Amino acid sequence: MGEKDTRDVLLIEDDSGDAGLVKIAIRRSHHLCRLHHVMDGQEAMAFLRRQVGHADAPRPDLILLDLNLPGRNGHEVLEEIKADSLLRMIPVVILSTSGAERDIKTAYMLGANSYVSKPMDVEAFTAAIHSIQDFWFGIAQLPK
Amino acid sequence: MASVVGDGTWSVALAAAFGLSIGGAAGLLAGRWHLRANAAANQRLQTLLTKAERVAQLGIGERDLKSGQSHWSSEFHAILGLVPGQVAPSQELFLDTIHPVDRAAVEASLHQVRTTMRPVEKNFRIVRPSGEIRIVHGRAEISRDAAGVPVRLDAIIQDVTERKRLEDELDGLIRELWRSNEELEQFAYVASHDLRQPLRVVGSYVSLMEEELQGNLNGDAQEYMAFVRDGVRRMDRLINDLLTYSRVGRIATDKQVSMCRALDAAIADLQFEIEDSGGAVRILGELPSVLGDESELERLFQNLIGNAVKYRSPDRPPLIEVGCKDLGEAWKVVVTDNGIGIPAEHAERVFGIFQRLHARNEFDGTGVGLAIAKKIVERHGGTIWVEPSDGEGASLSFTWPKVIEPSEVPLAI
Repeated sequence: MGEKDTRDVLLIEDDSGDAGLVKIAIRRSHHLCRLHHVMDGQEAMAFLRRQVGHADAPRPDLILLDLNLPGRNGHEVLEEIKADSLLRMIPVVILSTSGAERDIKTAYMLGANSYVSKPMDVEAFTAAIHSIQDFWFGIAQLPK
Repeated sequence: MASVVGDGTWSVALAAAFGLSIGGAAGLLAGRWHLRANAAANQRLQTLLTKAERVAQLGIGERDLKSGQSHWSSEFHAILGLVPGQVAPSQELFLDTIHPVDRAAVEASLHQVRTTMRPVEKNFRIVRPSGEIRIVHGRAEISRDAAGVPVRLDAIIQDVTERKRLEDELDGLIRELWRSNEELEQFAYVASHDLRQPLRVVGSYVSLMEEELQGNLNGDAQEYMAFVRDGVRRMDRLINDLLTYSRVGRIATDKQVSMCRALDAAIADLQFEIEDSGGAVRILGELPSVLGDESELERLFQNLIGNAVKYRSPDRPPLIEVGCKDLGEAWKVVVTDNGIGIPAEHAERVFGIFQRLHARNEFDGTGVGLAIAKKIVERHGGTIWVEPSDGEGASLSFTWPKVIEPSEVPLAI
């Protein structure tokens, strides 16, 4: 497999513990993935627009977005991504502890590509991340 | 100062109270001035009307459109803070009693009655000679003679100050309730998200640590790990149950629901537990259709029957009976089991949130089940209690008010 088969995933998550779980899950998967982790919405937009500090950032193939972020919340970040004609085509998967109906509705209304509630135990969590990878990198066709 | 808005509720209430239609009430009451012909025969009716006026704090006035002469009843005077005989009733005097801010609007309304020939109702403020401000509800309409020519302006006024004050108080209470509801919603959201997030991290990393240290943990360390895991699992359940408790009534949609269907759904949900225990649920007789939220009713049965299965006696499979009794204004549903029972001293306590009667190693649980049941029943206007029992088993009863369809409410003609 060549370099281009490695997928770039941007994780927007302020909880290092949760981010660690995603990293472990991705390390254990059979997909070739580079995980880029940013802690809030502002840094995420800088990464996506290759601004200060992220001039060399790759265009991610998939965005994993937590809703509970400091400052601009996940919904606002999602809205901003989907309002940007260059970023709109990147699939955004919401990864949230919240299973609240209004969070789910709002996310889909704002154009989320799917909404995943973080499972409580680590095995289910890992399996969820693997399923996300299997779908977006195995089954779905992504724009080049 | 309360805002002055027009509504017609008092006249409906008054008419209903006297068994009269609105127009009939107005016509009849206003017509008292023309009942002089047969004085003896009308004496009783006059007295009755005067009493009715006083009780209803309802003043009647009329103005002859030809002569411009006004007549006011004594209650009409009283509402305006005037004494009959001491003043000469006239439209000008009436308008002079009206609060300066509201006067133009009342004048416009009176004008409107004359031009459109349709009744007008309005709330406005008057200022009594003592300086006291009262809120008055007024209704005015034009009466015609047999040839259809407008002859009279009939007016009814009612002092609604106290009612407006109560309404404002109620509005304040409702606003306060809304605010506290919003706060509760915010709390529930925080609980579901912010409290569970760190909990998930703890649980996950304990599992990962166990994985890393596999085989290197001695007996004690393994036991400690098990405690951590159990603590996390329990905390997660507590948060979930607390959330469920806080959500009762907040996403409910009340409609006609069949208790029987709710019970069947609850039994289906508990099928595994019931079969596993070798138990059975028997429904004695018919269950009614009631007004309520279907999923809440279902949860109520689920919690009651789930408890009956869980707190079964080790000596016998659980036998649960559900019966219903007609109490007239409400239904009473009784769920009886043959389990370990609830000691009389704990009969109240079992409904407290996070209240448990047994050690965790005997019966697992968070102690929220019956608190949720109580909240559901009380939200629907019923009560729930533990029936006093002499022997084995427990018996829980709850009442559920019957539905009164709007069409079943007797209407005054």
